[in-house]
Amino acid sequence: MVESEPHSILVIGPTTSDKNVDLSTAMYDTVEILHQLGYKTSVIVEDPTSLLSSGKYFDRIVVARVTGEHVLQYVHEYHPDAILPTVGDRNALGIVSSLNGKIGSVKILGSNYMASLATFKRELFIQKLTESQLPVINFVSSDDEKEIYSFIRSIGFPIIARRRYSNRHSSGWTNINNLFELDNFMALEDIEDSRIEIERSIRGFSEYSFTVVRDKFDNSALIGTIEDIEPIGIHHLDSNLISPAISLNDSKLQKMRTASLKLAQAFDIVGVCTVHFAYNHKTNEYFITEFIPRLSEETKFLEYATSYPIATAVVELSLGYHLDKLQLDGGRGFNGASEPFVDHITSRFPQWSAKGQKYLGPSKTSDSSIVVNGFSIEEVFNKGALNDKLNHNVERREQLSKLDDDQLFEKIIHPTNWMLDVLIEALRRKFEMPVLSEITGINMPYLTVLKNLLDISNLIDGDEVSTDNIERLVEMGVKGVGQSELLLDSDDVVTKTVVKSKRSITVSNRNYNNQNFFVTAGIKSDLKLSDKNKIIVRSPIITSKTDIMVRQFVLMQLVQSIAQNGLEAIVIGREPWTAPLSSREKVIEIDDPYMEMKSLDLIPEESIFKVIDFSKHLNEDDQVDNVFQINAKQLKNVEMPGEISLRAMVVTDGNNYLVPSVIYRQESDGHSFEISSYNNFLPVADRSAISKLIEQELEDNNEVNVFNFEFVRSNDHWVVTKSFEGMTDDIIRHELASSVHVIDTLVKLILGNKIEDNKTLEEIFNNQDNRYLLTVDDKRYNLLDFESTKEQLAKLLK
Amino acid sequence: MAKEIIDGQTMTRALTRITYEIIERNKGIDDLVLVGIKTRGVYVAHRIESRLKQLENISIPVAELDITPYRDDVTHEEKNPADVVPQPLGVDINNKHVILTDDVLYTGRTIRAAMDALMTVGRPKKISLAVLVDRGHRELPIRADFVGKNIPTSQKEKIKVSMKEIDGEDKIEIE
Amino acid sequence: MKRYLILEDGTVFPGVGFGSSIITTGQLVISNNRTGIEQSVTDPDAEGQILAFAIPSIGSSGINRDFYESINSQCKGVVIGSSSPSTIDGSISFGDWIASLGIPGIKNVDVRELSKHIAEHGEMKASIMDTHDEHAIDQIKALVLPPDLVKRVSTRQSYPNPNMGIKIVVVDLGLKYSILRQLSYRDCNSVIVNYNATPEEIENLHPDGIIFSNGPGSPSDIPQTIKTIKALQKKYPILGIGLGNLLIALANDCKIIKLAQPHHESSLAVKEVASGKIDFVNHNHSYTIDQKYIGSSDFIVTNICVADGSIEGIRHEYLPIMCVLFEPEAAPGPNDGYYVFDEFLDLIDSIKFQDDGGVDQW
Repeated sequence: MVESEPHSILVIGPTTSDKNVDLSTAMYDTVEILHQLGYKTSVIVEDPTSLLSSGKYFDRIVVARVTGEHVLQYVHEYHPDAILPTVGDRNALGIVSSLNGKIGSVKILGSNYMASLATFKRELFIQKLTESQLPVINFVSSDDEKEIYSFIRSIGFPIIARRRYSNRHSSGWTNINNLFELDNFMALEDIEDSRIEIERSIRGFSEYSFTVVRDKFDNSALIGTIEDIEPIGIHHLDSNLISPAISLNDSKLQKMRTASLKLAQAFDIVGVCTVHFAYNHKTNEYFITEFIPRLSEETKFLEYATSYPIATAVVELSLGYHLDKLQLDGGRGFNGASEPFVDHITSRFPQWSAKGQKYLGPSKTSDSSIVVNGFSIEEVFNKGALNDKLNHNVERREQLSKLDDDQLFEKIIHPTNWMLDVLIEALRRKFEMPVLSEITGINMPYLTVLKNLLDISNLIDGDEVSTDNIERLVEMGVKGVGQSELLLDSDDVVTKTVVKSKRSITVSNRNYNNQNFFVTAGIKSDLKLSDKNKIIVRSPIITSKTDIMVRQFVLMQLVQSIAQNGLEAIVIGREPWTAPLSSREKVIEIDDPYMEMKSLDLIPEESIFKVIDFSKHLNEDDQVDNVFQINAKQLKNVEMPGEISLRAMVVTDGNNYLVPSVIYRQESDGHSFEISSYNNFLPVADRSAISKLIEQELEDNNEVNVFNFEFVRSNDHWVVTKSFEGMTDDIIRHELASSVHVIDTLVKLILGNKIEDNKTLEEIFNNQDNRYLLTVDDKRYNLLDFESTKEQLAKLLK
Repeated sequence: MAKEIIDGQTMTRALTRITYEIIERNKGIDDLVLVGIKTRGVYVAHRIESRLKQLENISIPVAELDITPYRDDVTHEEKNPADVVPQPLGVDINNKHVILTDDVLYTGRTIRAAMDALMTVGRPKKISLAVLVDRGHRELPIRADFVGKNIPTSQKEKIKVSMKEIDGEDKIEIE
Repeated sequence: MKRYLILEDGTVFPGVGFGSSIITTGQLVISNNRTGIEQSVTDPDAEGQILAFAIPSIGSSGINRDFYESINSQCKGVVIGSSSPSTIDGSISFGDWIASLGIPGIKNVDVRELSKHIAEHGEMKASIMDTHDEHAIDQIKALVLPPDLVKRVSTRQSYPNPNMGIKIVVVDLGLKYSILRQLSYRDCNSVIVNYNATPEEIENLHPDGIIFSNGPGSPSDIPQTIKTIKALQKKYPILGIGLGNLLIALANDCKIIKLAQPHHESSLAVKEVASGKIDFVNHNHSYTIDQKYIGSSDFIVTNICVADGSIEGIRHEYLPIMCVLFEPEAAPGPNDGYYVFDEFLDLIDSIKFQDDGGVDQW
């Protein structure tokens, strides 16, 4: 069944670029299954802390800039059997395309040289698709008038054109719809020092993306479809996305499905491939605009939307497994030959950290996103883009109402990230829907949804909610305890707030028991709980990238630890969280954007052992003793610069404490140096001094808790400069090494275990690591062994 | 300039269909032996065998036949048919239904040579012929019992069959 | 206007009515088709059925008359969750379309809960009504679904679908037009006959091959068709689709059983046993052939459903008969299954070109 050839695999890891998609869960799933299947894996990565918990599965972690050069060096030194680029974003494919002919018999898994190259080289992409008779937008780049006009005659109008100058710069694209505009464009400049580039215009076409998987035996399956609400012209990830693509009828769906499978076949991609389409519903023309033969933001979204374990499937397929004979873990089989049927809508709404309006275009501007679930488009709009708590839509409405019609119109012609609010305002002023649809390229069903929502909000504003229209309101996803009460009082309950599983009832969806749920409207809840005691983990919406990584890491560790310690973990979040595959069956995850779980009373109070909350501020009505706030609260902040400082993480059960991890930091010669797991190098005297300070700080604390302290060395003694109650960002660095299990220790303490009395200082500071992370200037990393670390410290202290 | 006229999927479906026909005409496959003519005829035989195995759960013996010593149209020294030493097939064909397999059927001379070879090794009950492509232009009274595709060609043209096992992909081209 | 979907076992699903306001009863089928509402509602298999669609926001993709699978719909009722009041191409909305067909509908139903219930308790009768009192439930329990579904949908008159190629007679048990489209595409000269056509009538048309189509209801409702199959199967190549497949199995001493979970999905994986190739095809059947009897029968299994291992296609060991339980003509669904028609035509060709072959080969 499996080619037994590769035994050792080099994974090309992520760079530290901010533009990277967070694929940490996918990386974890990938490496965990490789480990369970018996492969030896190593990774080349720039920041080892970005590996989060998957670090423990690697046989070798090479910390270096992720470039072709370094990959080649690794290949020549260690001779891996295969290279896996699928978790390394665009950079990894770029590296693959540069390795042709240089790596001998080393296999490339998932995406081959040709496919990787074609994602960068437009000419190759066009050539290959044309050969396979797939519709692609042809373009011409020429300074020969005959060639240019001949090309225009062959493709017809509308087209876009730009000039490319000899210094490699180019003008912006101009839309040309007819001969008159063409003549104007050509007349602007002489053709001598510039080339003219022309391609068919797909402005205003609807945008779709199809993700397929394929095995070595040419068996393929369509995993999911995504529809952009905004048309081509606005970056895919700045658009509001809907899955499945509900506006496609059978004929259109099958056309694009067939084309996607054909593309995967043409490039012989074994693994996953996402294909982007531009589709014109009026003329039924369509073009393939791009393809992505690796894991991406789309596959991450679809893995949650469809409950299909894409990351795990991809690595197995690339190793030669049959599509229907995949493995979930070392022992359990999984039928990957299924095109998941989803009976609800999963939607991704991009988020911007700045509050104001931002003009949108072909380049991505959003910073993060939020995913919501619902059974109707109205419901996902309400929970997502029009959710006042996220996007301050009430404020936006006020601002937009002050614009006059012309100013409002300008915002329609030049799309901004407030597009949906702008359209609602336009509909409020009775602008016509077909006109709006024509100008914005947003299809009618969405405008109708906005109109419905406008009517509803008018109803609510005017206090006209009654039992007659309550059904309509609930159908629209308007929920909140107020309306729900009215519903509950009614005899004829049409729908009420319930919790539904993300798994639809189909023949092939019974492979494994995904425990993802979401709060929505219906008549009955799907939630089935075991009789184990529960720990509920509550999580707010987080948009900063570091915070996301921290929460991701902590959640992963928390749920694994909770499950291992015999309890049932329930994660309730304002946005969904995808657990790693190995936990997905054990952890119940509920997407609850309006935080309604409490009022639904589905989890019996007696079975809740503890609530762990990630929010910065708790609700007043939370019983403080049952809630453990994990987020850091700053208790002390003393500004004291010093060359040498220590950061220690302390875990206490109220009486005794442990210091499992200490980070050393030194500023000298304009650079900063940090060494993690410093415990084993901490001089006894310092250890003693630090512990006395810690004991002082812990005096007033008599319950289970985590603390983070910063100590600065000043005049031969240590001073506490910062103290936090709770987890800070350092948690990742503290737990990077596998021997320190801070979170597991914390969970055990929460469960009632105690730290032994009378521990010696050596035991309190015990740390079993044999690899130490050296961070220079907060951005360059190195993993050192004991001897090298000693040398480095000696150098620093001179 | 080679032009692909049959793609991989059509080719594999044709092999599946030949398998069904073999089962149908034979009313059971207990006494079958597949003999593939080297080189690609052997892969055709193996593919049919694996399909038979999947459908009926019975393993049919597959033998390879190298007929170069028996060919009568090759320009090397004249060989007296009586001097040719029969090569062992490795499979007992006595009283069996032998299905000879090859990739392309053209003049028929290869098949005649194959039948000669078989007759020197044993006495089969029946010999049938299965080919992936029949391109016409027979020079001997030989016909295929099972044909994947009939492709009319001119004698100036060449049919090229590629098989995954040896050529990396499945397809049939004409040039 | 509040309406209720009431199941045979007394479970009530509230919703809001749309379309026709008549009261209706039928066999409730949960359809997991991702697309193709036009095809599903006009599929003659839907005769006597109330179709519950699980896809969200149904109707946004529009309604296109070209995708009908029969001239009029025989569907008894539709049940949906959310719908879209407007369409991507400006065509008629789903609600208006259902109303124009005179079909009663109920929306805002918790279709997920309905699917769960049916998965647990099996397919059953249901009604769309205006009240949900005891009386209504008793009425449903008492109702017997008509046993002559095939008779209602089968063409009364024979009619041709003329072309220049191979001659096919299609025995209409409730065929979908896309079967005829696939035949036309392959230039087949077809004649479509009533389910009750006698062997003599069919032989007089001099077919090269005969297709027994898909259809509603149970094979035990049309014993005379089984007799016809027995009379013709030794003389002509035969293709059985869906109900046709079940009839052919029964005509040859096989038994049929109910599927643990019925197959009503537009894209479900089927594996071709011989080659291991996996195709995604449209399924619309609740029965399959009992594996226990295949070994002793004269059939070999050619296709199985990957998810639950059930038989999806069989072929006779020595007669030119091939059958599939899935819908090779798709409509809706992926076109991976079209090859079945090519295979049938190849089968017919191979019989025709047997010079010393002919009847005594078998």
